[in-house]
Amino acid sequence: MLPNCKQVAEQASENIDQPLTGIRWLKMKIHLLMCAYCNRYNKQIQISSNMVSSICQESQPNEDVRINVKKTFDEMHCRQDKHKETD
Amino acid sequence: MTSESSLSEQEILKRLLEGDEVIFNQVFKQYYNSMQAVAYAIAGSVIADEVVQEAWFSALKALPKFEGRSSLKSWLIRIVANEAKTRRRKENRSVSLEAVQDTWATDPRFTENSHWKNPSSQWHGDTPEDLLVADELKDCIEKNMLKLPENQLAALRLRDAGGLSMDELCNILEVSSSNVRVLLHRARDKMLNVIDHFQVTGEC
Repeated sequence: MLPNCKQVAEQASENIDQPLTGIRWLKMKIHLLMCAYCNRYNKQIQISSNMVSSICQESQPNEDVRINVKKTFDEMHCRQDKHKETD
Repeated sequence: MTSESSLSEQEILKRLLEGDEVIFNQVFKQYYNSMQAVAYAIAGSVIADEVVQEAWFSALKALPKFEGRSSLKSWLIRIVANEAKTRRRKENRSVSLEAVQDTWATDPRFTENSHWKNPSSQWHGDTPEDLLVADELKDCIEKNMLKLPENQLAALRLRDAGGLSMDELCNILEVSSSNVRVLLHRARDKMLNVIDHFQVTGEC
């Protein structure tokens, strides 16, 4: 039996993370060929996921955190350099 | 001149140990989103940045002993996850899974037979780039992401923003793979509805 639209909507998201295989993939594919609404939803859920990814990738690291971590990074190497000099 | 992005992980580690500032900034920026997503998922939004900072302090201290058995990213994720779990225990914060069971069962977009009653509309573009031309849509998505239940947002950020594997999500969120799938589906479906509403009305 083919999955209904609600099940296909769930599988569309699942398919992004772990592509469906075998009979589940085939049943979903047949449903998508017959159902324009699910076909559209399947494409749009992928676009939505990519948009979230793209927006989040654009966000910049917290500058205070970067400065504090960088300071520790620099201090570590200053100490190492001093050890080398005394050796 | 060698491009920093083409360096092997071994070379990156070597340069970090030598104190190369350019590489440090590159690595910090590259893994920040993933680390922040993990900290957020485990310890919550308020202290997420603080947790990332502490994790970096621990990572820098341990860096000379890092043998490269796992990737640098996996190693940093483990450190930030441990740091976040320690903070969560200290602050006695628990993660609720209530939102896994929301209104999907009675979704008015579907008929009683679970077929579409109110399907999504045709969008004016096929790629994120086409659709994100409107700054308002980007702002709208960002605003609505923050309205997602905490665990759905955590799953979405870990997977779609942080690029973590499904196994990593299960470990970090401490839920089964089927629950992770449900959380991701609910979150993406809500974002799809936000975009769809914007496409139809031009408003957030």
